Amino acid sequence: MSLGERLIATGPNSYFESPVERREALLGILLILPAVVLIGAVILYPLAYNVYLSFTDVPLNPNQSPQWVGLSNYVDLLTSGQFWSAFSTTVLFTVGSTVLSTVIGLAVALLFDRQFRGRRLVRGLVLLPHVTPIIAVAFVWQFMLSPLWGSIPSLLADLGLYSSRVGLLQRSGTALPMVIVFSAWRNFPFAFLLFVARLQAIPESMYEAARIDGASAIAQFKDITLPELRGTIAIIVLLRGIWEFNAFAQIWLLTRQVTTLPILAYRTAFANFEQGLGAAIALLLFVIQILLVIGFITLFGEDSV
Amino acid sequence: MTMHETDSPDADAPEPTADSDRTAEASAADSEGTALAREMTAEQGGETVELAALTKRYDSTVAVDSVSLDVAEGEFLVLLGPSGCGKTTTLRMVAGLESVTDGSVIIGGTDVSRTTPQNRDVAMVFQNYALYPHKTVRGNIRFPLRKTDLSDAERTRRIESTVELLDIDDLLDKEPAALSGGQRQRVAIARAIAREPSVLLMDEPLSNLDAKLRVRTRSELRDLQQRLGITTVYVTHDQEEAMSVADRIAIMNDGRIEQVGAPEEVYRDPNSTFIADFLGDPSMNIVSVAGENTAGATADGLVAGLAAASPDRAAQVGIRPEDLYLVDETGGFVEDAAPEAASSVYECPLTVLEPIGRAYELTLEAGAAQMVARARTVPDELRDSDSVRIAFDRDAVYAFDRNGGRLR
Repeated sequence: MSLGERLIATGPNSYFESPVERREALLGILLILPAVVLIGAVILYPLAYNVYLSFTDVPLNPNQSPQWVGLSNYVDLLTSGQFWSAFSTTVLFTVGSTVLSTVIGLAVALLFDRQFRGRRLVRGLVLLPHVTPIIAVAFVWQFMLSPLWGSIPSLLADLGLYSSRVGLLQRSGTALPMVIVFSAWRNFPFAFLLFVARLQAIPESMYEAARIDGASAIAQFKDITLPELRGTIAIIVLLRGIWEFNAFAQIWLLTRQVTTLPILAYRTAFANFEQGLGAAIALLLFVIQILLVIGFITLFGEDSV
Repeated sequence: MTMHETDSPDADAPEPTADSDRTAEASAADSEGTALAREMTAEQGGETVELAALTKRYDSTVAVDSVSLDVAEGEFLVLLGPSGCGKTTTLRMVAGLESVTDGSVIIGGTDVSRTTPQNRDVAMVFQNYALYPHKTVRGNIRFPLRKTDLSDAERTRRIESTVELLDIDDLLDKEPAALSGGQRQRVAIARAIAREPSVLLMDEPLSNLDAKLRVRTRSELRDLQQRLGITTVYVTHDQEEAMSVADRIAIMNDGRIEQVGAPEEVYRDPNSTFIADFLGDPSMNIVSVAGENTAGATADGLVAGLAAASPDRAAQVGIRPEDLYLVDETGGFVEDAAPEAASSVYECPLTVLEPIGRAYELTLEAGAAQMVARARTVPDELRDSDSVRIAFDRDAVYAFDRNGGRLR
């Protein structure tokens, strides 16, 4: 019988059998209270207020209260091309950078899954993209991608792959791939770390058994490594997916040519000062994400995540 | 690479024909599962394994030091020794999982020292079973068969007869996580023998089972090996296990083989104090009888008596706990069993009396030394710190020289 069922069956007064138990329960409530209050104040209240705002038109004058406009913000959004184009950009960005960072992370982790001199040092270095302040690396990338003196356009030009006078980050067609590459570069160490930890936990004897059984390196990867990493892949894809979907800084700092939903929400609320509309975008972002996570977990199964 | 690579297919060449004969016979008896199993056992055989001055060195340490050993066809050989003695390294070199520093591994007359594991026609059962956790039992057993040139029907038949043999046919569609330790162990063995390798290697296969199951499984293992007639090299640190399954035991210490022989032989006739001490539980009582330490201990009768029963040049003498006998006041033996060559009776202070279920262990003071005696019955009134009357079997006294070598 669960606690809830017992409470319903007996009522709160008779549920706790002795005064000692009741005191214990009170103490427990007291101890979690600060955390509950804090979460309520900084998460639940803003969330609820955001829901409220999304149904209103917020005047610029702080002395005037928001005007209830019902669903009109949502109707505007769902019928606007801007929203849907930002939505598809977000999906492209999320899928692209999640897949790329996971694949790179896995590849590098596999390279590190053997003994070599200086392994610990190099492993530390691999983490650098992830731990360096994003403002610093974003400017370095901007510099590298600069059409005037950037090394990447110059290299691409030498190879004959790039000849435009417009910078890679300044054209919307190339800005999105660049942002995806940057995000994957910045975040692959996260996947790398989780993969390295999991790879070390796969018993060596499994590979030895496979060697005796005559399995090639590719077969060993397919039949042992990959199935063993399934859960790790699922968790990495889920977390990275959530984070990339909400990503703001790594896009905003690099280019203004890529408009994803978080950036659209920011622009609407703080550049155009349509805060009700901005709140509606944020809320839709939230709802879409919840649906995606639920879909992902049903697809992959709760156990592996 | 080397010429062994080209040699091995020739050596294997007769096998496929034997296989196809078997297939033909098998289809005749197809309806009867047990007949299949029986027939599989009759046909499966082993190859000889020969280790010639096999050595493994890691940087400065020598893990295996020039080990030479011949294992006959169909023999069950156990490598026994304390941890770190090099027994597992030796086994892994036979499997090809560990490179050979020096010397050679010869299987069925072919030098395979530089051959990859899959070309040695060996199978291995690992301590942790190393089952593939995401494959079903069927998938696990099928895995090593994928690389053989068998037909699909033949593979299925092999799987069926193997699970029949090991009595795990009801587990085929389960995953390893759903199995008990004993079941996993059987699946691991099934996976190893399904390919019908010429040599079966086992690395402490029973050490993850609980005590009762271990005892039951080891006799089943022995039975299985006898029926298959497959050459088996088995590593364990458990002497009781080694004694019960082995045709011959090779006892290793410090990277070397100290003695090879039938279980009874190595127990009854140890070459050195190491083996005398290692085999038997509780271990043999070994005391020095030469040198200054014991010169003053002549007052102690028991050690002096043991020394008197052994050659003069003996530096150490040993006696097993079960060869020390309790004697009552009248001079008769407390137990019915009496040694033929009983010594005179010595009085020893008793320090600890320990009941261990089916017997008692008595720790005695014999001068400066401590000795352990084992008795099936003790007088009721016997307590710690009493003194007991002890006689020993004069025929069961072992004499060793200063370096621990046996004097015969």
